[in-house]
Amino acid sequence: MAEPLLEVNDLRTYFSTEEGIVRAVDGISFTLDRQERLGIVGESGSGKSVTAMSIMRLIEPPAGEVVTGTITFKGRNLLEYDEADMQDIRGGQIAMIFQDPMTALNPVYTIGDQLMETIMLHQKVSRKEAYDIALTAIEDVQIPGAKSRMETYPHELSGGMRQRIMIAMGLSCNPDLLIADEPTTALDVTTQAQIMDLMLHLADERGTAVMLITHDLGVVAGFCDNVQVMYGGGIVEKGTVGQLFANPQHPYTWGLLGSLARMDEEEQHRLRSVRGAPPSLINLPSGCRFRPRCDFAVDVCAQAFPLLRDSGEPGQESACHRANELDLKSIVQEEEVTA
Amino acid sequence: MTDTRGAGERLEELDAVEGLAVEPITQWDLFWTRLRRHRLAMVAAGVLTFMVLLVVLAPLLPFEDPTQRLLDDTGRTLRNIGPRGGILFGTDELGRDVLSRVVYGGRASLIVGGVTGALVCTMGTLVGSIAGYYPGPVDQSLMRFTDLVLGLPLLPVAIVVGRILPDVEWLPSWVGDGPIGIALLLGFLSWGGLARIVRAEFLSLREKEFVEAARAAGANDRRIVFRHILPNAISPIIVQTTLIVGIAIIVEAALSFLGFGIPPPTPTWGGIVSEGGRIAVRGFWWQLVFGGTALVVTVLSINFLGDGLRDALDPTQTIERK
Amino acid sequence: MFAYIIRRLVYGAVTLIALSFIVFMMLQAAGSPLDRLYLNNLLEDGFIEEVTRLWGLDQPLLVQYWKWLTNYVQPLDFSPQNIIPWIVLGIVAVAIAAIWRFAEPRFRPAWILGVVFVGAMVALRNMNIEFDWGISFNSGSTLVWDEVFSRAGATFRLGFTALGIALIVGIPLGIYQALRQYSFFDQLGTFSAFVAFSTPIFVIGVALQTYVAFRFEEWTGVKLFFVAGMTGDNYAQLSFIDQMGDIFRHLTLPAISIALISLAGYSRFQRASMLEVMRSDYLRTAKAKGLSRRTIIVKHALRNALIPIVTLVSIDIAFIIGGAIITESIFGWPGLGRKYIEALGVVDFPVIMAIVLVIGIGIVIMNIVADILYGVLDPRVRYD
Repeated sequence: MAEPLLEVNDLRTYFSTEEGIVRAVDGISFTLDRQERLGIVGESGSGKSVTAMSIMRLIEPPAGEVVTGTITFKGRNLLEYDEADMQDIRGGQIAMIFQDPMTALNPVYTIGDQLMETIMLHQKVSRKEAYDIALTAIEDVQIPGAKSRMETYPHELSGGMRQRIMIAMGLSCNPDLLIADEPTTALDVTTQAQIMDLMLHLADERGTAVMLITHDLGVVAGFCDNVQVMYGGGIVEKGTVGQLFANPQHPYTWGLLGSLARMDEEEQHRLRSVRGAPPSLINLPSGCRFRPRCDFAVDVCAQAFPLLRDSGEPGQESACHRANELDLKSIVQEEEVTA
Repeated sequence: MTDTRGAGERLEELDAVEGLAVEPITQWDLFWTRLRRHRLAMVAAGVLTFMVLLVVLAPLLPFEDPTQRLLDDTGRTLRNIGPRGGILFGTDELGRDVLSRVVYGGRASLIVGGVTGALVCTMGTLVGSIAGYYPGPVDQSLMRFTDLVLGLPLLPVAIVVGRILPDVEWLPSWVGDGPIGIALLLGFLSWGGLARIVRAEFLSLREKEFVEAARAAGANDRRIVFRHILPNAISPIIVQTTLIVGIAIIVEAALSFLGFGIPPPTPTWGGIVSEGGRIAVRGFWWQLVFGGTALVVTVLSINFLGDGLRDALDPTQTIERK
Repeated sequence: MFAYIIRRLVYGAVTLIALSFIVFMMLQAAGSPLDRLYLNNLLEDGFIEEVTRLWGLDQPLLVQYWKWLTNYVQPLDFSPQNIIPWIVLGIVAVAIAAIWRFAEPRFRPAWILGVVFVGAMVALRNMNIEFDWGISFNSGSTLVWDEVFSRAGATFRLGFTALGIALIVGIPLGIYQALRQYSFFDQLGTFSAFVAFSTPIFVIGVALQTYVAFRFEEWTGVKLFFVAGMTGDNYAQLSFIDQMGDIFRHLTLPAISIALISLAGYSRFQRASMLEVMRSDYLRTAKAKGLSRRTIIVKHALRNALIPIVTLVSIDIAFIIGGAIITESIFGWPGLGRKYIEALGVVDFPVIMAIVLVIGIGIVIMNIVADILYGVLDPRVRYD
């Protein structure tokens, strides 16, 4: 088996605040292969964005810090890189696209300036060549009138256009990994699908692996190979998209799926919601972090912290004490019958 | 109101069952916690309280008459006597007790600061709210007027007014000669900034969902303004007002320093610094130092308090790292 | 954009009229100028009759104000001395046409402003300009125009030095503090800024004058700074280097007195603005691109963090002029501010009104300059 592109092992990123230590990411491990499309799903505050920021080493001490763990990228631990080496990685080998395109571009420089800056930083090219690469990049993301776009400022473009520019910027140096942090959340629904299609199509062309961070299971279903669900700073379930949707093993995943309106199922079912609010990452509940919101909690859930273990189909893992005894899939059906 | 309380109680019950109950924190508690944590602001509040008490209670305390010269045993005037036991801050050129002059001088400063602050707070909030709540011609004309007032350079105009106030015959003497006249003047010249800020707050708040919701629920204009918008605009109002109080005290002192403020023999900090500066070249430093210190410490306290209030009132500052 | 500039000029004119009207009426409220003229025994026979006729002193207030206004804006002489002003006019016209054709729209106002400013400076040097601002009611002989014109330069020198000090020290200070947030230096800076911000200009001025200029020389025998004045008595005989030294030793203390408060304000504001930019999404993007910290700060953060300070400076201009009035009186600086105080002491109508007008014009122009500068720095601004 080939070495994975990215291997995260027992990553813990904590923030210190006046109220106490926030365990934003608390011991997660996963791997990402070349050209894989991995979806990371979770509510706000589940630690998915912090995971991405940790990989990019964008967490700034002393506010937050990667406390332990390794992030092995192409065989080397990113956490051991010095700042100069890390700068080559960022934008060059791992690119990142952020949630809000309205504020992600510097308002005082033109689109062309900002694209060319990235290109000239990571590729040994002249200004002229950089200009041409930037022009192609804008054409690639299907923005008409690329030449005149080079001279425009971000505020003259719509949100969707700006996100296209961000994608162009992210992919302009042919990175091995593209981290997209809720890239379409701030856009309206019709643009969302276009942007996702465009991004993944371009990533495939370049052989770039994509790590898609989202709270939207629908997006994951449509665009990802594998998915992992995060809750309270940890991964509670991982598997292929097919496994997770057909046979959720963790009550939280089950809850999330229940809140999703599905078009592909013939019978209608009532939408469920996960009750309560995400846990405070300062005072975590004892045992399983999902326990206070879980409909199936028993005594053991308060006593022991559940680790990820195989459950369900091969390759599928879940962090629930009762994963093997609960048949969540059939509970759904029962509910539908009673409803 | 009843239904929200019901929901809140239900949630608390839920939390309690799940062992996640949290002490409910009101905005007021948060405000106090944050303000108390701002140590400089607390010290400043203490200093200001002390100053106000001292100035108000001065006639009851054993201070010399600030306008009366001190005499020694042989009946000679004690001119320019340095600080010593009994005359802690020394005496001035006319033999008057500097300590008592500094204390009584605080009167003018604090009255000017307080009255100007009250005036600016009222006018600025009023004009700003009206302009912000009634867009169109009302807003336009009020804002043009505000721009005009803001366009007037404070000190050059204040100096003119300070100069001519005592000469205006038809003004009652408590306006012409006292701190009230100066305060009225400064108040009328400096409400523009606050009006603009309040208007901007109103413009953004009136479009917010909770105001829409209140309107949809049938709340009338008065209720919307006083219950939903103004409480949210309170932070900039307080912060701007404290800023203006500090500036007013400085400008009053500057007018007195230039000889266009409250006329002598009434003591003012500006006047004390002016006279102190003249005699400090001869080595008689105490008037300059004590008068100047009183002024700087007061304004500094007001500014620190304002800073503390801003931090405490800022609802976005929930978890800031120390 | 032309509409914008014209609108700004109209607003400016309205402000000026309001300012002059208020000051005029205030002065009148303290008693008719005629009463003061009759008390003044320095005046020659016939002077009172002449100014009464000229300024309509025996007529209703509004008529008097109208006469004043029309007199003040009417040039007495505005003729070119030689051909140079005409050449300048031609060059400026061509330059503006060229700017219109070639410059990017958002830089046009700045370019035009620059060309007009330089052109006006060169042209005015080669012109006879004189406005009929009357004769001082106090002396009965000095021309107000000459008096104000000759003193404007001194105030200009003082004000701009103060502004320069405040900007050059205040902005880097604020940026440095923001980059070292919560460090000892940052906290010291914040505390000092609060103290400076709370210390009235006259307290600083008197303290500097007394101790740094006067007592320091007494104690050490070394004369560092002069106590008063703009230049020494022997200024004309000094070499160029010595002249610069002389100017420096006169200018430093009054300029610092004015600058300190502004400096404190700028550093506080710049710190806050820089911190805000440092937290912005686009800076995170810049980091994620792989830029070095240096490039991020210098190219991406600074450019944005400097924009809001322009507004602060434009508000601060009026304050600096106010500071100049106080400082000039303390340091015997022969500028407009001291003249203003002197004229107010004796309620010398024409002089007070002339200085108020000049101060107002200065503020209006500086505000327009600041607005245009803002447009240059921030591409999001549109002039319409």
